[in-house]
Amino acid sequence: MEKLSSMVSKCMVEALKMPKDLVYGDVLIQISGRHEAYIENYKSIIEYTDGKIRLQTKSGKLLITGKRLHIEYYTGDEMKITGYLTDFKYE
Amino acid sequence: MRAWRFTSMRGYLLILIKSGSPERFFNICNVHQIELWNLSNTPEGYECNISIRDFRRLKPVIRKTRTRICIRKRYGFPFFLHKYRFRKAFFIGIAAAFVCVYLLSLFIWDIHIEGNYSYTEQVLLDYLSSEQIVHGMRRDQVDCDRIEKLLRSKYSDIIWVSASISGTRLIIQLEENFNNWQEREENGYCDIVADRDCRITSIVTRSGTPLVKQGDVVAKGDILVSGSVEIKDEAGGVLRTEYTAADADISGESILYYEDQLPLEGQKKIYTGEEAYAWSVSILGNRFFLKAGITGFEHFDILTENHPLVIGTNFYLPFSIEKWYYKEYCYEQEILTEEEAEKALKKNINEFFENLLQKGVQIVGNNVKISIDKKMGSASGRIVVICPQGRAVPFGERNDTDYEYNGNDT
Repeated sequence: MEKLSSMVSKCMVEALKMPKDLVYGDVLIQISGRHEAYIENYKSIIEYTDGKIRLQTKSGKLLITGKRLHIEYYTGDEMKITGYLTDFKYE
Repeated sequence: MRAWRFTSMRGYLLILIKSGSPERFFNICNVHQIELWNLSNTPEGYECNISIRDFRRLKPVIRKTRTRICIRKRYGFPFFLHKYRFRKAFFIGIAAAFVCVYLLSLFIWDIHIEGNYSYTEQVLLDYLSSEQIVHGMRRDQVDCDRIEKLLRSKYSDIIWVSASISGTRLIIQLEENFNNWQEREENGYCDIVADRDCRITSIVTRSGTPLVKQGDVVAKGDILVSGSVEIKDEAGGVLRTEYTAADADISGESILYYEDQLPLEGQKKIYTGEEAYAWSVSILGNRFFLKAGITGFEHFDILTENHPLVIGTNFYLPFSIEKWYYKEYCYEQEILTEEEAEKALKKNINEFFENLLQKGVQIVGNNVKISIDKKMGSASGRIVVICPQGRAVPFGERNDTDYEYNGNDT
């Protein structure tokens, strides 16, 4: 039943050309070079250290690694990270 | 727009967070909409900024997450005020500045005139000052309607005036009459008389009795359209005469005499490139020179740049800084060749024609000839033009000896 509903929603998204991040709640990552990243639709911060930020998203955990990582700001669903970014990984 | 972008005015803190589970603290802050920004991990703990308002709401979160908070630095206007709270003269100075600005805003510091063409700003300002409308007068004493009426009654060819106050500026917008058309007084009866000797080429009468027709030759001062209209009976006898403001579109062909002379030998003004400058400050109309522009130049032009002090767009203060430029020039003997003289004379003729065309004058004939002898170049001749004719003359101003009916003079 769950599979059917997900198939229906997938077909509707395709047919109506709706943005997937709105329908599925997918995380959006916008990276500017190596020094800046905007992350939208995250749920919470799991871990934050100087070299690692782990975020909970709807589709899983997102691990951002780098050096001197700095959170410029964060709100309920949006975050800006600066520093030297090396890796973005889903866990 | 996030609240933390306006926190400089409201004040914010740089805090150090020490906790066993800092992420839990950050997430709970997020849930409670307590905004933290500039979050960084330091060896001592986590540092971030927080607004004063949110800091006061932090207590339950601190207790829940067993976090220790240290205030590292304080930023913003509330802390600035607190720091200097004992410096009374400073706050008195700020208050005095606000009072000064308020008091200055009660006066007119700039009279701005727009749309003037034939009347210079100085002429209009002189007239206004003779009517006690001057820089520095109180704003509440400005009567815009009176200014409009004064200007319109003083200058008959200013056909529209609008006066308004914007900040400490009195803005006067006006429109001048370029079409040789005179405004008729309301309910005023008038005739239309010829401006100059001409031959009428077209006449379209809207009101009044036309006394001339196409092809008639008229002299300056002749009545072209009379403001008196005779009402006749069937037999042609005059029952009564009614009066109106004559109105018509009349154009006439007339002759203009053009004459221009240009000496071949003369002095030419040449700038040497030497410049000097001076600064002055104008306070309430009094000018004080900060650096005198003693030049030692024999001949020089003076250019002045005026920079009035303005708050915003329209709040002009009675202070201005002026920069005076002194540009030296000298005279050099110049001898023009025949070609150069001819070129200069032709340029003058073309400028004269362009001015005529801009005024709506049609040029139908031109026999201006250029002749150049040893000492002088001259251009002279007749130009036949068709231009709008007639000006309104109220009955009260009629001088009967000036007018003659010239209808037979065809």
